[in-house]
Amino acid sequence: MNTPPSASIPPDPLSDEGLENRLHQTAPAPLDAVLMARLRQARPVLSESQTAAFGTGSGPRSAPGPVLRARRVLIPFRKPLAAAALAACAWAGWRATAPDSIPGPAHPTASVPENPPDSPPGLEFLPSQESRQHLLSVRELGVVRDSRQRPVRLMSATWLDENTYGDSALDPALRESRLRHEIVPVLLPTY
Amino acid sequence: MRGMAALSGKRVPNRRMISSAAAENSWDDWLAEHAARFLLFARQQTRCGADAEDVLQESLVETWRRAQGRPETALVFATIRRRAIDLARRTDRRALREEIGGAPDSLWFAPEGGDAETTALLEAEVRRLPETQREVITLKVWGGLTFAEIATALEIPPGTAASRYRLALESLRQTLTPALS
Repeated sequence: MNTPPSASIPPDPLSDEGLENRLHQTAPAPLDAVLMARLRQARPVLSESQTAAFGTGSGPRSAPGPVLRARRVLIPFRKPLAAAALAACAWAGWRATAPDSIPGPAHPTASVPENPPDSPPGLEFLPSQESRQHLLSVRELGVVRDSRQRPVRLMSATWLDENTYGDSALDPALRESRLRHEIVPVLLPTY
Repeated sequence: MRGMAALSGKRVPNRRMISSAAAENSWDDWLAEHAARFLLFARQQTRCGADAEDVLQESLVETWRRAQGRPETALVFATIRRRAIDLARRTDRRALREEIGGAPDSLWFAPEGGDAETTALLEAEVRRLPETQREVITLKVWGGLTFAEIATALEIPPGTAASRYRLALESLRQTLTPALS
């Protein structure tokens, strides 16, 4: 029996542990003196509040700086501050949309003009002299319940509006008449 | 306390002076402790030694300032990688270096006294690894990071980091076994 020579036997492969140990024995090349000096010169200058974190202890968060102390002072007031901020935002939003959202009369009414506004051109520029409303008819429509389940009687009213415009001294007076239907909710008393 | 110091004629450093000195010492200690491994990674991520040094300085200052002190090691490696990518996008120094015909201009590992040849062989094999495997094995072995930290630094899943590490080890085993056995 011929045995192969030992030189031709492939070496045993390294184990993972052996290879890792060998890699760990190799150290990264150190920095040359010029680069190390350059990096030391480049030390970032922190602000006073930041450098205060290095006063004592082992880490940057061991000593609270002024920023952290300010946060601690504000923590008890965070809820009132948040409520005030929310109220301010809500008020600002309400102010921005107020002209479009404010209802005119205190009682909700649905005014249905009989005729579209067909005032003569330029009429709105004349000063108003007199305005009269004549109640022509009232009719009951029925009883409904509002959002709080209270009975509300709906009444339909027809008005005749008479407006008089013009400067009596210079221009002849202009008179405008319109029919206006209005649905008036009347809250019924409950006992 | 301050009055007693004034009476005794001794100068007591105030808190600001202590803090500044502590920060300076901490910066220097941090450099002495970790700068070599950061530089190794920067050299692998950039195209020449000058770029590596620029990226290293920029990343160290940035992470130190952001953390207001000694930053997390994984964060520094991640910053080095991002700054190297940014630099590569800004400049095309590789083409310039190839025109010059430069060889690797810096050693990655410290030559060991009695086994400099093996160290040179190991460096050559590490350089030949695919970049994705090389950066993982560098962060694991010489960066001292866990797979989770490597995943964070390289923005890859932890499983991917582990599999790349195994592939790198297997590749190095095949090439280094004849020399190390």
